[in-house]
Amino acid sequence: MLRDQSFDAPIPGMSMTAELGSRPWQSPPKYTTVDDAIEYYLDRMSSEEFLDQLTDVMEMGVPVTSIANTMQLGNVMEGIHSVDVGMLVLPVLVEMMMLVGDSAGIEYDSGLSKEAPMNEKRTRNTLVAKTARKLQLQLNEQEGKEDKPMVDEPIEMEEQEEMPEEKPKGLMGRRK
Amino acid sequence: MRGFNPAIVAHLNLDLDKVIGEEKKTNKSSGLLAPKKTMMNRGQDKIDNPLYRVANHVKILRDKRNELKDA
Repeated sequence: MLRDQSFDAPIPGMSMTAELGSRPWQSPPKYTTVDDAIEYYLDRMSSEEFLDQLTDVMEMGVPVTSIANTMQLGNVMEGIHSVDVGMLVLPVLVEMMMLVGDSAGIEYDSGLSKEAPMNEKRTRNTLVAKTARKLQLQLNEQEGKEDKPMVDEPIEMEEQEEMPEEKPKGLMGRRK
Repeated sequence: MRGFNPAIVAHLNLDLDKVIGEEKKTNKSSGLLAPKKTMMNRGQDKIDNPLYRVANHVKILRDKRNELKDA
């Protein structure tokens, strides 16, 4: 069986092509203790914008564990905290997200059960609902614009050039 | 098929009862010259252990979630 070849993978020695310390994860992390990291995450997760996005993603059926792992991995890459602090913080993130999901009253996939298939139908439904909401908003905006009084502006009508009538050229063509 | 996700392992392996719950009652010796801390237990204070602090956070959040479920 052939494997899919990935040409995006780094080649050996690629990490040495950049200057040492130039990458965020090569410098000391911003938060070194678990408490600092938890505080950072709780601050970030308490913003309304984040909560909206999180509930949307959870509603789509993305497992909570995957979101948590992606979050901590991204912050390791950005040099916010180290890998080991990220690992320790993971259960708190998962629990916090599940609390958000429960308090928002949405159905979500925790990702902790062994058989946790992605509910494609639910994903599609939420996507459809989201698109419909967006369209509705656009329609409302347009209606709002239409309700506004129109400013009388002279409308310049393009003068259409009169097309010359084609005269019959054939022998049987009628003559006027 | 799911790839390896450390969040699942970390969450499932965090035994709150084991981390928070166990508190050994040590028989305090009442003598004046009795050591306040044994050398074995020195540096193993629970509060110093990041896992214990994480477990505490998780416990608070889980209790809150259970409250929401019960309500």
